[in-house]
Amino acid sequence: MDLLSPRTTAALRGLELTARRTLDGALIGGHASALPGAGLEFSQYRSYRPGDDLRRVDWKLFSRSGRYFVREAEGERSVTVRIVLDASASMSMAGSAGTKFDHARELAAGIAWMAHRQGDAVGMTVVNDRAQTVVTPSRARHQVHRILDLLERAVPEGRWPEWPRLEPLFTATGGRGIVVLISDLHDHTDELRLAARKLAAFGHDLAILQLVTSDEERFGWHGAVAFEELESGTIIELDADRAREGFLAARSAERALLARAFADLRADHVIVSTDEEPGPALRRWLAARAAAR
Amino acid sequence: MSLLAPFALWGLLALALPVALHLRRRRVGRTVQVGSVRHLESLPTAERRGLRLREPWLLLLRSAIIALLVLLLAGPMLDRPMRQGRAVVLVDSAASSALIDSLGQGAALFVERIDEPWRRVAELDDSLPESLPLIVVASNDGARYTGPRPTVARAITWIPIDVTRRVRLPASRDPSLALRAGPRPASPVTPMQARALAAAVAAVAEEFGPLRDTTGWQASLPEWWRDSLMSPSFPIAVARVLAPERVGPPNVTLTTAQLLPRVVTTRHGQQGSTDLHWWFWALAVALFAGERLWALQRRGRA
Repeated sequence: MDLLSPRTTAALRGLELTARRTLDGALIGGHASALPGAGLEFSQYRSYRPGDDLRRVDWKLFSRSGRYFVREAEGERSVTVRIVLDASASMSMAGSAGTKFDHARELAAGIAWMAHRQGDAVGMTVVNDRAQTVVTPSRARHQVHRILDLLERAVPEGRWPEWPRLEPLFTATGGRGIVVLISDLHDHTDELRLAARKLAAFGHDLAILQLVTSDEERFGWHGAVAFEELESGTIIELDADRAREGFLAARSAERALLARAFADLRADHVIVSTDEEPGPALRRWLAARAAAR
Repeated sequence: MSLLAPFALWGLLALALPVALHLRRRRVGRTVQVGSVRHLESLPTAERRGLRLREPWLLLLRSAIIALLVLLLAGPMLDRPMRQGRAVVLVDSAASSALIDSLGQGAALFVERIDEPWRRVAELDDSLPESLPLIVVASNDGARYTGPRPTVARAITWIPIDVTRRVRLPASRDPSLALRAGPRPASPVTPMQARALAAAVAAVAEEFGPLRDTTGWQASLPEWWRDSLMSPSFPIAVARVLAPERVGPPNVTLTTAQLLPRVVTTRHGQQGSTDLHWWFWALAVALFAGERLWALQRRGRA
């Protein structure tokens, strides 16, 4: 399967995934912040684009050449992006086009590609309670391929693991950065929300992409339906038309709670439908993120 | 409450039917796999599938109807709070077997034949409820008894029978008390035995009022049914009904079942019904109506 379609990359071209706040003190936080001065290795000049900070224009070069150039330095791209993909069984819920997990993988591939392209170290962690597979963050040339390979092999099964099993994955590699959690946020007790809290407490800049299907969003089922929970096998039978109102009320109440909880963590919370193309979805997220800065 | 035909309780096995029906999975349009049913579980109309009884109250109602019908077949009789209607009759083994048979048959008296009246009286006095009268029909009047006499808690009605004494039956006796030898006499009843029998029954009747056939609703059954199906010699009786002239007088053997102490249910005085037959019918009909109403409402909701 083609996880990284040209459509996605085209949609992501020109976008930047930037940390919202200073991460890992010594290095530079915001990608577009001013050059911090000495100590950073010069990388390249590029021509001025509208929107660039005028302070970044190399005026000496301007005086020589009469054109505006902006210095770019290696050191700016020092953010580590970790993508955490929920590979629990609930992610195999089918949407109108492919499962949630398929969409999650495309989103993950898109983010990895984007982060890699802008020079960030990007890593991937695919998580369920049977296995937690990690591609450690790196800027290596083939990093995106490694990540794509991992995504290809990932299978949604089991549940979200308890936090103690996840903790070493996020502490051992060290360094704070951007953590993108791609999940349906269906947990059994509190394990997913707990993980989000812990990740934020580590100082990571957390973004949560919550995958939903359109049927789930508007409870688009009718008549007598048996709902089988993918992770537990529990089957609930009901009349969908009569259940709709109650379901939507309970769901929006929970979503409000989640939104508040994530706002407290200063985490992005984006709801992505499986009907949505991954490119525009990521674009929407990044636009909202830029607006919130 | 006592039952006339306890074997009918096997019919309670039929209770498995509604239980099975309520355990059966209901057909549902389709199955949708979803990530989480957390919000669905708490909805009032949601049903968790599994080996679970649906609508337990309806099941209870249906089971009650079946149990009632089974009980109806078993012939329920109410033990009325006033106990004077019941008595245990002990008959001295010196009395003729015709007397015992007839006591048991004609008046629906359940009789135990005894050898040592006092010992048996002592035993029964310990085991029977206090309010239950004990009647002893014995050929002696106790005067000639030389063994130890136990102390008993209840009043014993001791009816001496003297085969030589003539006793007139009360004129107002109930026709059902007719001292008939039954359709199949164990042996021809001699006039002497008949007199003894009459004496005994008259004595019982004097003590407890006129006796009735107490088999309740079964009294309305055809006589051959009553006398045959309810008796241990059922096959003989059937043969007799089918071919009356070819079957001679059967060899009657006394089984141990006939020797067990039996509780007499005699009715006297007012006509109070101890037969629960009609009550059970009424209850069953009412419950069935309720069940239908319930089921209809449920269908209306669904």
